[in-house]
Amino acid sequence: MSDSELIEVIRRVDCFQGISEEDLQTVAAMGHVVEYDKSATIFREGDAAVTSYVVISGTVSLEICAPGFGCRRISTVREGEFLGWSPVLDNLHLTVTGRTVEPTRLVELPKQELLALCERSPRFGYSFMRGIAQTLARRLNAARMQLLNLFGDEAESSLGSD
Amino acid sequence: MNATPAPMPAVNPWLPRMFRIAEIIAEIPSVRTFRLAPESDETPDFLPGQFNMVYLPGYGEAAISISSGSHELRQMDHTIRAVGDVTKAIMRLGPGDQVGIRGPFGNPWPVARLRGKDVLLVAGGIGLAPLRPVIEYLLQNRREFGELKLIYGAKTPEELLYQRQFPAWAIAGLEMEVTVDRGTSAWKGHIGVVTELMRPLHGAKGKTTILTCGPEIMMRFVAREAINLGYDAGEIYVSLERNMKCAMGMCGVCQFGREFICKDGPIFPFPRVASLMQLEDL
Repeated sequence: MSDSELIEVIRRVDCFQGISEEDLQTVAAMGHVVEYDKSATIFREGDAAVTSYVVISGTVSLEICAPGFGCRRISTVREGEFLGWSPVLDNLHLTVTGRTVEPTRLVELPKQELLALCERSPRFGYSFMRGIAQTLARRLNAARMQLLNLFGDEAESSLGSD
Repeated sequence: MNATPAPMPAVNPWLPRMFRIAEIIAEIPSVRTFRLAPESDETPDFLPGQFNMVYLPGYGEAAISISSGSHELRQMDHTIRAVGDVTKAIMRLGPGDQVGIRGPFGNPWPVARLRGKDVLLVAGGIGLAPLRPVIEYLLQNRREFGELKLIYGAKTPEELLYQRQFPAWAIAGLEMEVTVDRGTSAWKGHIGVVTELMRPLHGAKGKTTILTCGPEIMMRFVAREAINLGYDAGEIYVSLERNMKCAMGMCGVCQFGREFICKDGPIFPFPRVASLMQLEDL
C-alpha cells in the first residue's frame, strides 16, 4: 500500500476527520500495515495496551472470554473504523480480545507515537481525542441498546402479534 | 398493490370476509407467514404498510400487517408471531383452514413521495414484515428511485426474517447490511445494533427518506441517530403499534395522544409522534 493510499484510508476514519494534511501524513508515517488470516487473534484481553489500529479491510470481532463461559462476541469493527481506544486513553491493558472474522488488513498505530503527536500538535490532539470520545459515545449508546434487549419477546412489536 | 392513496373499502368494514389458508411458511422460531386466499372472487388490494384485522371465531381479532409484495396476486401474506390468545390460536391452524379478514386499514408508507429519492430502510426483528411490501414495491419500480439500502437487525442469526429473499433483493438493487445482537462462531456478519450501521448514504442527505419499523424504542434510537447524522427529521417515517379493536378510529383503544394508530397510522412522520414516543405512560 502506497503512502498516499494509506493517507486516504486514515482520512476516512471518524477519529481523524478534520485533521491537517501535515498531521495526516505524520499519522500515516507511523503506521505499519499488517495482514491476518481468518480467525487469527490480533490481541487478547489483558495484553499490554500499546497499539491502536485502523481497519483497512475485513472484520474484527471483539470478544470477552472466560473459563466456563467461553468467548462471547460482543461487537464487530469493520473497514474504516478505529480499533483500540484503551492505548490512547492510557489504560494499561486491553479490555477485549480481537479476532478476525475474515482475512483482514490493519494499520498498526503505536500508542507512544500517537500520544507524542498529540503533545506536539494540540490542534491534532483535540481533534483526535474528540473523535475518540465520539466513537466511545456511539459504542456506549449501542451497548445501552443491547442492554435493553430490544428483540426480547416482551419488547418487540410490529403489527405481527396481539 | 398500488401506490395511490388508500380508497375506503367497498365492503362493510365491520364484517370479516372469509379467507382460506393457502400456505404456511415457517420463518423463524415462533413466527410463521400465513398466505391467505379469498373465498370470494375478490382480488385483495392494499398499500404497503397497511394492516388487516385477522379474525378467528371464538378467539377474536388481531391487527396484523400485510407482509406480501404485489407479485402474490389474489393472495395476502401475514407474518405472525405467537404472543396473544388470537395469534397463538392462529398458529394451530393448517392449510385449508379459514380465517376472517377485515381491512385493509391504516395509513401506508409514503411510496408516492419516495420517487426520485434515496431510501434508507431500518428494520428490527419482526419489524421487517411491514417493510417487505414497500421493499418489493421499490424493487419492482427500481429505476424510479435513487439509492436503496436496508439495515436490518435481529437478536441472533437464526431470528433474521425472510433470509431466503435476501439474495433476490440484493440482485434487484437493494444494498443490505445485517447485524445481530449475539453472533455465533459461524456468523460472519456484523454484531451490534442497527444504529451502528447508519452512515450517510452516498447521495445527498436532503434527498433521503428513512422508513423504520421495529420495537418502538429502536425506532426512537434510529430517528435520533439519523437526526445526529444530519438527515431531515421530516423525512423519517415510523410504524407504530398499539392494541387495536375497531381499526377505524371509533373505539379509542389505540389512541396515542391526538392520534389513533389504526386510522392516522400505523405509519407516521416522526415529528408528529416524536414527543409522544418519549412518554413512559402512553
